[in-house]
Amino acid sequence: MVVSALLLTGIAVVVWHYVMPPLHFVESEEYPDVFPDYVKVTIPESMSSDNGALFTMTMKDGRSCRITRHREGDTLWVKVSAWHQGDMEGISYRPFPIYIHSDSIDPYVVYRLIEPGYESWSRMSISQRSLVSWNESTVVSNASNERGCINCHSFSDGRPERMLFHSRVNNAGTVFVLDGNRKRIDFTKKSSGRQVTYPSWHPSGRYVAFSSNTTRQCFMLKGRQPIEVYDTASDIMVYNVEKDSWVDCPYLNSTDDWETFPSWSPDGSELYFCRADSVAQPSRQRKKVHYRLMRIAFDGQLGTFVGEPQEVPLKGIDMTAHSVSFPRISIDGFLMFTLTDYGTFPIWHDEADLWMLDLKAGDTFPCTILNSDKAESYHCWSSNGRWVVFGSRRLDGRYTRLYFSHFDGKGQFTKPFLLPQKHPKDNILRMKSYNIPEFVKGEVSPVEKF
Amino acid sequence: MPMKKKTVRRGLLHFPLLAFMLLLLLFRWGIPYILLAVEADSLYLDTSDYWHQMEQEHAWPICAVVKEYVCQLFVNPWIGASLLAFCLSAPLYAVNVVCRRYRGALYWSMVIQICVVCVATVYVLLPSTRTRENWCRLEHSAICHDWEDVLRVATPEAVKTDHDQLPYALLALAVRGELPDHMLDYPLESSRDFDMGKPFDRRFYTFRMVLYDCLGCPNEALHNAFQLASFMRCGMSLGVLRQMVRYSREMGDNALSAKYGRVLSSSTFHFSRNSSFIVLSPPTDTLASRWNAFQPLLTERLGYNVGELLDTESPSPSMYHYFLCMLLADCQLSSFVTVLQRVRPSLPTSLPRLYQEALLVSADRGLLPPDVSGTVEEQVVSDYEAWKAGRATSALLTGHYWQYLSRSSFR
Repeated sequence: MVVSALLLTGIAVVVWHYVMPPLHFVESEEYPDVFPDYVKVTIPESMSSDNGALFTMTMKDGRSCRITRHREGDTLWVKVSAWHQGDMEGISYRPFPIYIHSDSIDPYVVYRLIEPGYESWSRMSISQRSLVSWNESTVVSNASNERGCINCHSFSDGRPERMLFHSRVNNAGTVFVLDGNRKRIDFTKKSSGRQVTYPSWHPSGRYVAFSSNTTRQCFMLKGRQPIEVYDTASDIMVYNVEKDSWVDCPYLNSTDDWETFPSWSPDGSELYFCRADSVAQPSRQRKKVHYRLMRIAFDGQLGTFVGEPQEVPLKGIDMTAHSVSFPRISIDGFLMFTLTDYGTFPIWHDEADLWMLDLKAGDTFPCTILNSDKAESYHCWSSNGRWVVFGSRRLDGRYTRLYFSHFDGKGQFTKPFLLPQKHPKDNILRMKSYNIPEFVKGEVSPVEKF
Repeated sequence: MPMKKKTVRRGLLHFPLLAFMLLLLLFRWGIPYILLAVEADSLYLDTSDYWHQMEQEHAWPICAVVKEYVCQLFVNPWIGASLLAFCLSAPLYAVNVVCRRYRGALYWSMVIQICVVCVATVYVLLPSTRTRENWCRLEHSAICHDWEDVLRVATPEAVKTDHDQLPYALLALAVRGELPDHMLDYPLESSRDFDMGKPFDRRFYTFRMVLYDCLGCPNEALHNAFQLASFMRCGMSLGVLRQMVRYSREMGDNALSAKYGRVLSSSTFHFSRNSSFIVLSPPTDTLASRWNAFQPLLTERLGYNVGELLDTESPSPSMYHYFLCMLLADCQLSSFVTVLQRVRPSLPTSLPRLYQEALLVSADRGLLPPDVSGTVEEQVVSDYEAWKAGRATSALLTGHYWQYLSRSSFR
């Protein structure tokens, strides 16, 4: 009996030692090195419920940790205590703040999940994620088109009931989901005879500007960058959704130039896009391809373009040594774009950064706090222009993850935060990239057949 | 009951144990590489995405997960063989236990068990099974860089019946530095034999993955690993993940390698030594030299790609031989002479016999000065003269470059 008691006591001590936290913690003046890095980020009120429990985190070095949170006004205070299992004492770090902003954020973000690059794919889906929980659900899966490709989802004014996406290979065409009605249009069989690519809905919902791109890839045998994606031709076409017809836009179909990435101004009076001079061998001459920012006026009532496209000057940027992609304009008149050294597919460029053009003042500046030494690429404004979501490969240089940041409407961003997951390790274990994040004002109904 | 009857009954009762042993040995020694391929093609991960995918794609997700879980066990051929043998013998053993009172039932059980063993034996000996076993062994050995075993499988005789093995044989010879010495032992027709042709299926991408790994192009090896993954039933597999860990490490991308390693360690039999799963990318400056390095583009022509790689930093001697032999396979003597002169300082003083023969023929055709005595041994010259004069012995009629040229469609 004595032996049993001793044995049980020994087991209890071992279990206590290796399972329970230490009894003593040393106070540290430093902030903890947590993953994801949520120290001093700013989050919306809707994501702050239950003292920010949505924002799970762990110690970057793998130590066990205990996290406590409490709210004081508009600040969440997070205290982290960490220890190595088996140690007699741990470290209690300085509490760090997570700021809560009253500006609302759209409740959902929709994105495509896809392996990062190359030629073949197996499974891909367009998914939606609630921003007040960890729930992710599938909107469209490529199981619906026999493992074909689905891409370029886009929502009219962020409304979940009006969207489009492309289906390739099988059941090919552009699928429009309009207020519960679904139709698939194969534009290659229409009068234009061309496939459409990057879309942008006119604010009125009556038009969609598409680029039509002939896109190719080349692979580098050696070097840091494994892939370059480029166009050998591209033009812009505007589709009248109500009349099922094309808007005439002769200035956007030049054979000497490549036009791509259409994006409407918030009032729909202008179409912004990117244009580059064509080159004979885009793969070998890829470093000579520089896209500049253009705009052309549009009369939404008449459905016609007015005048010729004009280049939008970007102060302080040498456009012979840089290239612009993804112009997107907030309701305050701030145009965010991605800047690279060359080319039209920024996600494969480590130097790709987010920049801003103040359309009223004409100033151009980098969004320094948002950028990293890896690619920052596709971005989207929330419907109120106060939050931005963007893709970044800062974690490992290969897999795109989503980051959010608050914008004050005057040119200042806050430190971006990573899309929270139920388990922090899910950010690492996910083997797909988040592609084309789009804010949506409500939950999107799944599209199972098209 | 008399002792003899008891013994017989006990023997019949436990006959499945004997069958289990026979089946175990049959599978372990008959199809070990097929068993390894079962594990390499499987995928079990304890991740949210994996469980979600299984739920979405299977009517009975738990059955699919259990199947993948069990397939992991085939990482050891003994365990895999045991599982198979168990599945085939255990049901009848259970029947025996239930029906042990009825000797007739036990006899029938024994007959069925014998039939099972016979059918299993026939399956293992079927030509299609032997072919599949050979392929699994070939690919496994190539991925593990066991070139000696690759050459044991892809012999010149084996290649005559299965031409697809030839690229592996040539690659193995190149890595071992024996390509010029033994290239013509194989039924070679052109440089196309150095590559796996269409269709672009998993065989093609498996070979390409191994090939570019050997050529020092982990970028491309990783590319082909991704392509290969798309052919797996789960969209990825443990075998491919292992390769992705390796290739990303060879690229110098520790963050990516750590990521794949962490994913792999969420399976059952792969363990991460690093307790921290967070290995983030280092600042780009440390990779600046790679970023700015000359970046040759991949083309569809393997020979062109290899040629481009020779211009990059420090190619290995085996890559030179690979390229030179491809040129000889296509009878491109002029290019061969040009490249050989360029890479000569990187090669041993004494050239392989194949090159000497090619130089002799090149001199004969005016591509070189007629006197090549400084580079070509006297015996080679003598053999060539004998062949030209029609005095060639049987040994000189095969396995020599002049003879390859004479029958080649390229000329």
